[in-house]
Amino acid sequence: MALKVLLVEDDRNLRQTLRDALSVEGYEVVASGSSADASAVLRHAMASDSPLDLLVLDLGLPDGDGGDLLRSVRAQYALPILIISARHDYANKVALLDAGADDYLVKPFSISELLARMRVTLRHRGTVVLAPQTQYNCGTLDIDLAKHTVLKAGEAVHLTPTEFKLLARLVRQAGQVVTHRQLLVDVWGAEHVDQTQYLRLYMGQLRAKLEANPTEPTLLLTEPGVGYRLAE
Amino acid sequence: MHNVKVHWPAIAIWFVAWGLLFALDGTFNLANLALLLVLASAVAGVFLSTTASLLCSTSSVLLFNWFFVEPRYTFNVHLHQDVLLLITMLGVSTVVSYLMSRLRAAAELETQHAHTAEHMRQWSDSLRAATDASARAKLLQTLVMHKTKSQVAVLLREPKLLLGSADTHDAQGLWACVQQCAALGPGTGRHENQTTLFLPIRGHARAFGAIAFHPHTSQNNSAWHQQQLQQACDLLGLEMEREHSLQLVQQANQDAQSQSLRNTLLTSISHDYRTPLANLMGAASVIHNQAARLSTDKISGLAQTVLDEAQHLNRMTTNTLQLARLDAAPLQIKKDWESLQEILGSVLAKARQRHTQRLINVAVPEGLPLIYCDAILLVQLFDNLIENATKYSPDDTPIDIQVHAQPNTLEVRVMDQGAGVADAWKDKVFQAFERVHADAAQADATDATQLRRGMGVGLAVCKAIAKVHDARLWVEDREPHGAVMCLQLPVLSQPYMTMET
Repeated sequence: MALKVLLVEDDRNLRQTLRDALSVEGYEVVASGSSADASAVLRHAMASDSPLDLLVLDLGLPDGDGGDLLRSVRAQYALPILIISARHDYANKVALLDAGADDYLVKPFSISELLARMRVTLRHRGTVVLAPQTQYNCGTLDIDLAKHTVLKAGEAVHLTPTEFKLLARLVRQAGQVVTHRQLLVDVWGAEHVDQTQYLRLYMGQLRAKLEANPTEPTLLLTEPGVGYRLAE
Repeated sequence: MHNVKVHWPAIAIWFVAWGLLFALDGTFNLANLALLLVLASAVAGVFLSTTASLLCSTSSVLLFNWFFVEPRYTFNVHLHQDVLLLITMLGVSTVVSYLMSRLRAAAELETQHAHTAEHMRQWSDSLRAATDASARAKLLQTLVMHKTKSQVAVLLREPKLLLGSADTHDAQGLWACVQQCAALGPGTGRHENQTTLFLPIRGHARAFGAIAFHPHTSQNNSAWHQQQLQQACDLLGLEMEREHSLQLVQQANQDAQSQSLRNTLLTSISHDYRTPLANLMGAASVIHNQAARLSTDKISGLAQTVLDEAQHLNRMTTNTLQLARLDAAPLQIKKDWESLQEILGSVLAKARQRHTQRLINVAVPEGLPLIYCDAILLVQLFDNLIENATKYSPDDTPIDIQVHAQPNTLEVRVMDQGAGVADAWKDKVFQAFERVHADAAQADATDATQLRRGMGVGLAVCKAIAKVHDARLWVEDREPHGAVMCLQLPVLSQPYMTMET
């Protein structure tokens, strides 16, 4: 059965384009142009036999903030949410990621970027109800969180406890962006929430140990102003 | 009156005079001795107040009479002889001590004035050093309190501010004083029945505020005192006026700047947006109208043009908006501790995606200090620099990016092997839309115009971003040819971190 996506975007042309493109890729698309309409669709669809699998949400809606919709969805359903935002809206975007959005995409974007993000978000849709990802494999790197092992080209890499905690946090959401705040709170504790310098330092150390070229990482990617993403 | 502190010389003079009188008794006659007494009285008068001098002279005449005038050791006076001596001595000492006391009073007034002037000078220095209006008002309040030993209220008009306590009556008086720009209260000729004295804080044309205080009735030189306080008020007034006109100038500058920004945006839209829009429309309309008659390769090529031009427009829009934003609110940026290596890394990842064929060499040393910056802005800056380098140098030449750590700074150099930037353009390339008007008419304009297509906003925004980071951005020549864009970022003292053991 086709995966069901609710697309909330107020621009009619973009909505139509995305709808067509997603349909071509085999998704079943329900499109909505306003926050109120989207809420109604959500209520109806989630109660039906074929609930939604993914919400793609534009932040600039005519009848209210996309953020309100996001928070109400997060409170009720375990539905993955992908945010689409304009470039200047960085602070808002980070706040929404912290509030539970799964990932974000900056306008303008290409359809291939959107599809890639959607695939990752859908793969992680179990994170809320099911056990999060504990194994990661990409290129020459193998990580098993349960066994506490990190192998680079088959050889064990020694990580400090903090380095391992940081890497583990990223592995659990591999492919998705994890904000600075989420990383600082989960790895260092809530009292260190503003001390991004720790992140910079340990991220640098991790890259030095795991990346072939720490300046141009292929695994531990930087999302400037937002957070980090472990590549897939 | 004046407190005469220097009476020791007078005592000494009298002592010596009396010593001489006793020593010379019998050698000289009485008239000559009397002259000695007159001399002593005159000289001692220099050091004594009038009253003391008269007292001394009188008692000296009496003692002289007692010791030297026959019959000795009696006050029996030969009137016709001694009265003359007494009158002469009293006259001389009165005149001398009166003259001296006037001289002393004048000198003392002079000293006091000099002292006050010096005090005012110091005060006006501190006034100039004060950072804001309320600090200055506080200085005036302290000064007037010190001078009058009474409670002082200071009222400023802009920013509206009241220091010290003022009841409704005083507040009314203060406002009246500001509006009339004249002193009110006792000794001013206006509202003489008031107990409070109001002085305006005057500028050239109007009052910037007023002060209120209760003058001491005992001060006998109150007119002079009031004048001095008015002077202090006026110093503050003039300082405030100076500040006010400075603000006006700044405001005018800002207005001019925002006007020029508006022009910049208009120029951007009218010049730089038309070409990509024309290309977009051309390519899209061809696909739309002639798709059936075109090969798929051709259509794919046209679609690529649409994508490229859309990306170009997107970049220009982002840059133009950022320029406008930085210009409007340069302080509203969100700085944090960032790693330059990370920022360059994420810029490079995108640049390599855009220019898959291009060789980009990067050298970043390890262990760079963190920089305190807005990551999004620096990403935009480096992205523009690299984009320019790829655009204005041949496709088969590499682009080199180097980072050099220096004491207190990090220097990033983006180097290409293109035509470079002529000396005349080294400053102008950073100004938005500098090229457009003048060059079109020039014969050799094609190169420069071509070189600068779409460059205007890109480098201007780089400059603006560098500025909000207290960084320096400039262009150098590269040997044998090419341009080097240099960014020098300040390195602040590093944040505290506890290390893992």
